[in-house]
Amino acid sequence: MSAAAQLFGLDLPNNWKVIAPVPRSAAGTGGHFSHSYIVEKSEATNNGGLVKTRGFLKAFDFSDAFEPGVDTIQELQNLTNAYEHEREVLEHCAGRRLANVVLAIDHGHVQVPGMNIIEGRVFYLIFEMADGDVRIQMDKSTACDSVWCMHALRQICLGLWQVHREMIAHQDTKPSNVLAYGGSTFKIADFGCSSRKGITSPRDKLNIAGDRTYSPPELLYGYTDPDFVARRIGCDLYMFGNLAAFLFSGTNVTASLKRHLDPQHHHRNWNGTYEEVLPYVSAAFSRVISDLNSVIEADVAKDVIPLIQELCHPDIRRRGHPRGIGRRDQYSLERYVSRLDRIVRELEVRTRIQRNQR
Amino acid sequence: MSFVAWEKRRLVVPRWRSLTMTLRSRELSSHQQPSNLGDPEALDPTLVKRLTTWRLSPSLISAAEVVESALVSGREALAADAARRLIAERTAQPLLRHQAAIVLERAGDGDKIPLDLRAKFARHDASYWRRVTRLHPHDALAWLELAFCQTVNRQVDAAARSITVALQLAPHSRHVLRSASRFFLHRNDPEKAHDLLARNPATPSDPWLLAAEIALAMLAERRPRYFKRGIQLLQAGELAPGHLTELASALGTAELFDGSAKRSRQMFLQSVVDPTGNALAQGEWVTPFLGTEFVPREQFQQVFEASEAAAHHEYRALRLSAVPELCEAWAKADAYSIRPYEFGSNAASMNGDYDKALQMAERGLQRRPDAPTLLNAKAFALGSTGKHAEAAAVLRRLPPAAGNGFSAFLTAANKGLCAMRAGRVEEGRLLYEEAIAGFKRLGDLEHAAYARLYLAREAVLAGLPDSSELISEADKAMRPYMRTPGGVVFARFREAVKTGTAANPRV
Repeated sequence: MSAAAQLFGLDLPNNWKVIAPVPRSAAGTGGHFSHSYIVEKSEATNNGGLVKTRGFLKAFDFSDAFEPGVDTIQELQNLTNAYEHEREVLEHCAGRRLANVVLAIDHGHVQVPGMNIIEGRVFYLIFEMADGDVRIQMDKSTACDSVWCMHALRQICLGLWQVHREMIAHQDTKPSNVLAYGGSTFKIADFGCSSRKGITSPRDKLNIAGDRTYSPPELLYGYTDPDFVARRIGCDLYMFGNLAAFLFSGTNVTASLKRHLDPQHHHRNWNGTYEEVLPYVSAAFSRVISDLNSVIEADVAKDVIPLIQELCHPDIRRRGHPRGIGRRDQYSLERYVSRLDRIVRELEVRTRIQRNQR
Repeated sequence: MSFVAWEKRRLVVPRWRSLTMTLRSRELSSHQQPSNLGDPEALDPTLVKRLTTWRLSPSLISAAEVVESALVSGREALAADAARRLIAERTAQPLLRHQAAIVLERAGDGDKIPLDLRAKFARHDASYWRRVTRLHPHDALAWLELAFCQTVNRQVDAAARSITVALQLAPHSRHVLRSASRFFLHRNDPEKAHDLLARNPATPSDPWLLAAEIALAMLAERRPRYFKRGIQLLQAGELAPGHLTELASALGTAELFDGSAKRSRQMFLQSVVDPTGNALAQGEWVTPFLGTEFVPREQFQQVFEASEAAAHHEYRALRLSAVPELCEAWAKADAYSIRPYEFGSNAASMNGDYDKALQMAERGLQRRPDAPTLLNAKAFALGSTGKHAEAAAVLRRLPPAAGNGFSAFLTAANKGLCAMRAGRVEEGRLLYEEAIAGFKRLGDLEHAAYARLYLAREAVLAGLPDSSELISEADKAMRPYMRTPGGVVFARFREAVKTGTAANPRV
């Protein structure tokens, strides 16, 4: 068992205590090289009482570096870089007071008793504890209403736009990384796959930095735009549109595209260029949109469907707000922030009127 | 009179049908060699992680995540359990259950999909595709589907506009280019059809576009621009036979017309290794010219859209009764072409099945109401069943015959048939003689012999005193063609004369 898997019960610096492991099935947010725990700390208040704070701990698992046949020094460097990168991005975001980003409230390292100083040292990040994520939308019995979905969408849009202004691309905006706090606040989590313009990130070498299941089609087919904004921020736009589809239908656009694509055009079987396969992907996308149109309530669909069409467009040259196509701000989410503000307000008013009529 | 349905010149022009049908023909897969993007057999770590989670704690969410990952990774077989669970979960979102259904289908468990989730094959019409193009104006293939429906509905100008949009959206797409070139050919503009491919930068590297370019150049009576490039690609042996089939077939046809029978034969042998229906039909068409059987019989069952080839095969083997049904299947693959109906109607006529011949001619005329061959086929079928007044009315719909062409002589013979059955024997006889002389002038001795045969038939029916002489003349004229479908007609006629039933108007 790796050191990162043995933190349960340990006391951490700054009075944190690891009180429970988070099974992978429930967490799902962690990367392939991390373990998750719930941590708690008690702090004295001014009136002499005690207040308990809970957090979500992400422990970086470096055990792979010590596997036989692995270049340990190189792998340790890679894993350390990954930890350093995420910590730095989160610190940068914390300095900008980004309200819709799950920020690290603490970080550090701990030595697991009984293990040597190299293998037993575990680096970790502690985040604000969330109440859950938006994957409940997959089940009709637990799915929330349109107002809740639209709030989530607006807040995540704001969060992404804020990080984009810092020239950070999240690259892993998927349902399990959209965390809900108290039912009305939503934040984007997990910057482990992010990239920063001008700064080398551990995942820069990878064609697909985040989860392939939610990845834009051009990346699955091996197309990489040399421009940071088109490639990385364009990927965020797609994933955000994908999230919109997910919130209102419980399905993801990438998987739906594959459902409608003939297997001969699946990226696994396609040896040509992305441009060559694009007409088939676009035809599949039309069918995905038609499917979504048939399951999303009509009064919401009129706002959500165009959003998905624009943000998930398989042709990267046509992705983004129609007014921005071909311009420098093509991949900016700014217009979507204001559009979603308006949509949320209208939807709230409509819903209130409908409730009153009942 | 009916005419020889076998074309003197058949070229491997691209077939144009709906996207669903074209996908089944496999001509839209990538022809390039596998790239070095990564190990295709390696499993996506996300899928592995989700499968582990699903096995440790099965739930609706973990099942849905496995299904999504499996679809994206193209590993549907690994997600069959999760898909079954998702289908059984009535609270799962509807689109998730549809995704699970497609996973089960691709995993080979299609029979376990509930009826409400089974994929339904829908044939969409022009209004459907017009709606799709309004909703998705950047979907080139939707424009192409719209153009296809418009072409079938004979709204050719509207189809031309749709084709233009499709070409603007996907100017290098194989499917768009092949379909568009076929459309221009349908519009009787082989030069434009050829220009489209000859000037496109995608053509030199794509064997399917090269095949079309070579065939269309011949139709436009030009030299193929990429003939040498096609030969290079064929000889390089780097591409799978399935991607070279139409190229080999087109090159083989070009070599045949250039008189290089040996090289042509080699190419046709290469074309039938893993053929499309089009290449198979070409292999069957070329067989009598090269004297080699290229198409193994089992390929008629194995190859998608083999009905055109099978129809040619049965026609060549003089099993004419099987031809019309095969032509109906062929007509489905070539949804706006009148060729299957010309072929089927003539084969049925030659077999003496005039009702079927009439039915096929009428169906062909629904596609192109002014087609002279089909109007003649219809008139002949009507005339041969005693409905000469109706037949004459059909022939009056024909535009005035241009010059001394084949069609004019065919019409003259059929007018002769109507006249003789109407009792205007001398007029009919003169019309037949005009047709015979005309065919001879064209050097078409086979059709001259057919006209003579049908003149003899009408003479017997009319009880003319010199009918025995006319039969002898027909016998002499038909002798070189006794192993053709015309020979079947003559043998039937001779038998009827022998048994005394030749006076039956349907012989």
